[in-house]
This record gives sequence, structure tokens and C-alpha cells, in this order.
Amino acid sequence: MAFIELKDVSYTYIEGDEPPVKALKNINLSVEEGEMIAIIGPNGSGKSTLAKLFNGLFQPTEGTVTVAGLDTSNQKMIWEIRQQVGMVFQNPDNQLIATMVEEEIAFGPENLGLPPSTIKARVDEALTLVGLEDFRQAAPHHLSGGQKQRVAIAGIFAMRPDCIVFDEPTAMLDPMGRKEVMATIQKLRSEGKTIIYITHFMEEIVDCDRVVILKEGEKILEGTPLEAFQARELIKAADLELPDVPYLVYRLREAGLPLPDEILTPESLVEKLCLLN
Amino acid sequence: MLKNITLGQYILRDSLIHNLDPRMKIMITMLIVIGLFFIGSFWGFLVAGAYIITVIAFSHLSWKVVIRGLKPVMFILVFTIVIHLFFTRGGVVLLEWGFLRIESEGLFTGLFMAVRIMLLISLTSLLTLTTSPIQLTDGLEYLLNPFRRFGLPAHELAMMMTIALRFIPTLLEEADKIMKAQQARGADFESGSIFRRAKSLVPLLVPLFLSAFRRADDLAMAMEARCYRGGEGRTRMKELSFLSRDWAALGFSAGFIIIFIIL
Repeated sequence: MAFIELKDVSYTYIEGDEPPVKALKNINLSVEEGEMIAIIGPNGSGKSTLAKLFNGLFQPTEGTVTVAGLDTSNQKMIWEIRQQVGMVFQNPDNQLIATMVEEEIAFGPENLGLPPSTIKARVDEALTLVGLEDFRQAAPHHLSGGQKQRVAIAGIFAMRPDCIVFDEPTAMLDPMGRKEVMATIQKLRSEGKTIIYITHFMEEIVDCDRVVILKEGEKILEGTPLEAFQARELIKAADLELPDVPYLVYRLREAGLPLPDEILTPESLVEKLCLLN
Repeated sequence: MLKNITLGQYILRDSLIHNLDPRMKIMITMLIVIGLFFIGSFWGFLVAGAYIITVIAFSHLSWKVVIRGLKPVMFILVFTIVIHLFFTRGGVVLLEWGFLRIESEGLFTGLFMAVRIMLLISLTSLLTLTTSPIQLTDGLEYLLNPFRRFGLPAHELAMMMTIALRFIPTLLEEADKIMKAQQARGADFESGSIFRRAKSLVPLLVPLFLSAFRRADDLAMAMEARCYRGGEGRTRMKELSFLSRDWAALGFSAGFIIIFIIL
């Protein structure tokens, strides 16, 4: 059985007298242990709502979500589930609680009620993972956006989750910060963590094992990154943009160059272009 | 510029006073404050003054910082003296001028009160000068913990203080941003009467509050996602523990308190 399973999940926002908004419609999805899956879609496609279903922050209006065999609607197991499925949010400023980096990372383990010596060891380990050993005593407001986001990741990592959900972690960062965060995520992946990566940047999904495209609360595609890039009609319909390399390959092919379709990186494009002569 | 603000008046030094357990510092400060109210003679104040001077010497802080802390209460000091001068009766008449009359008891009580306030303020500012806001919060949480059974939400209070400390710089930065955005569109925050200036702050406060609420919502979600469920069953990475130097500080201070109350 898959690590996370969504069965016929729908989610409806009901606020006051306003007409209910159906944010997710009949989503079926399974996430295997150790894989990196990207969920991509434009604003209002329901991707952030979906993110909050994975660890029981939201309960599905219809259908069921199970994590490692546990139903997220089971309130008795909710903390167990949240320990297993960590979550990094979009705004780095709004998810840091403490006034010092090491206290921030200790926050999760402290909530789990671990003994102080274990917490210290985990904080050290997490600081090393994200490369912020020198910022142990720093205040969050003195850090850059990318550094803050890495502190947030370290805080989750210290709870030893099996899976981490990233809800548009790079949306508010500059290119430098984006690079730092992506590198950290790749590190987590090599540690064997299951990663659910939510974004609206198509260039960030190149490295993923699997891609899900959402549009208006519906899953319109599930496949490899290559399959996603090839589904040009769907990408257009979902208001997404092809990354530079696949777009260039697409235009070159249109112009008559006999290039293969599976080129995703600048290096492989250079290689294939050289082979043409 | 805003990025470098420090909260409170904490000054980082590596001194005996700085390294004392915050719980002990808070308790000693409270004891001395209570002691100051029991002092009955100027001799007592002299000893209390000597105590404060010793603490300053041990804290590696300069005099000026402590004296600067007295500036905001200057008005209260003068006010206390003046009120006592003219309204406290008793003793020998020192000066009589029309309906104004100064008697020796008035002068004495006025000065007495002023010295007491000065000592109180310099003592409490020594606490905040040598203890960081984080340590103060931690210390308070530990000290208030026994009162939980009477319904005092010690952990929640400490958590609120921590979050406030964490978000003050963030909100200041945001206020600055909103202000600049509105100045760029012709808003005027600097001229006009106080009333007008206060009124011009309304368009600043509305977006600031809105965003503060949004942040609070996000933060609550992030805390829940990290298994936060109140103080119950929670442990701490850094546990406070009293060392021999803390007990020595307590003994030293208790000795002073006894002397200056007796005098």
C-alpha cells in the first residue's frame, strides 16, 4: 500500500452566507515512499488546499486521506500523522515562532516531548543538513528569505518525518534563495524522504519522479515531467508556462530540426545539437 | 536600519551578572524591591546604593547606561519632590512666601521618596540590561509554573511573549514599507497638528492590522503542523538549573537586604 492515499477526495469551502466553493473535485492520488512528486497548477487550482489535506490540517469534505495506513480524520492519531508528514509553508516570515534559530528548530521536537539531550542532538543534525551552523544564535529577522526557509526546513527535519510537503516554498524568494532551498530539498531527497512539492513554476519540476497538474480543483494530468512538458495543450489550458529548455526544443522542432523530444536540461540540449552535425 | 533593531535594552556582555540564572535574577530583584520599601533611614539607602554599585561593577556595564535609564523618570522625581515640599507638613518652617510654605518634614520626605524611586528604577533596569528578553521569558515561565494549578496560564503567557518578540521586527518592517508606499502616493505623515497626524495614521493601521491577522492565521497553522498542542507534555531543549554562583548571589543579596532594612 502506498504511503499516502487519497480516495475520491473533494473539499468545499463554506464561508458564511457565500455560495460554497468547491476547491477540489474527486482527487485520487497515491504517493509512494521515497518518491518526489510535484503538484503544479495556477492560482486557485486548489493545490494549497490539497497540501493541507496530507497532514490533517484540513479534513476532506468527501473521500478519505490515509497516511501510513492511518486515516487523517482519526483525531486520536492526528499528532502521529503530523509528526510523520511535515510541512513547509510559502511565507518564511509567518512560520517561524522563536526569536533564535536553534530555539526555532527545537520547537517541533519540544512539542513531541523528547528529552533535552535528544533535542540538542537533533538540532545539531538539522543545522548541519541545511548548512546554517554559524547562525545558531541568530534572530530570524536578521536572515535572508532563503536562510529563513532553510531554518523552517531544519525545524521540520528535526521532527524526523518520513514525508515533507512543500507548499510553494520558493514563491516569495529571490533567485539566490530559490537555489538554496532547491538544493536543500535535493539533500532531503537523497536522505530518503518522501517529498511532495507544490509549485507554479514548471522549471522546478524537472527533477521530480512524478508530476500532477491541477486545474480548477481537478487532476488533469499525472505522469513523468517529460510527459507533462509534452502535453502542451493541457499546459496552455492550465495557464502554465513551459520552462526555457523544453520550449526551445519545441520551437526548434517546429522549425524543422530533427531533435528528440526528451531534452530537459541545457547540457543535454547542447549534446543533442552537437550530434546534429 | 530597521533590520538592526534590538529589543528591550539588553546589552550583551560576558559577566557574572549576565550569566546568572534568569530565575534567580528575577527573584533577587523582587526581594530587593520589596526590601527598598522597608527602608526607614537614609543610611539604609546608602547601603542599598552600595549594593547597586557593586552589581554594576560586576556586570561590566558603564555607569552612563544605568544613569540614562533614570532619564525617563526625571519628571516623576521632580514632581514627587515638589509635591512633598509644598504639601507635607511637620517639623520646622524653612521658608514662607505668601501662601507657600516649606517645612522640614516635606523636604525630608520628598528627598526620601526620590531616592527610593531612583534606586528602584536603576535596579530594575539592571535586570533588563543584563538579561535578554528570551531569558526573561524563560525565567518567568519557570517561576510562574507553580501557579498553574490556580489557573494561571504560565506557558501560554510565555508563548505569547515569545511570539510578540519574534513579530515586532517583522511588523515594524511592514509598517515602514506601507508608510513608504503611501508617501510615494502623496500621503503626509509628518505635518499638521497632532490630531491631523494621528488621523493620517489610520490608512497605515488598517493594512497593518489586516496583514497581522493573516500572519496570525498562518502561524497558528504552522504551529499545529508542528504538533504544538499547548504546554502539556512539552519538553524544553534548554533546561534552567541553579549553579553555586546563583546561590552565592542570593546569599550576598539577602545579606544586603537584612542590613539595609535594619538600618
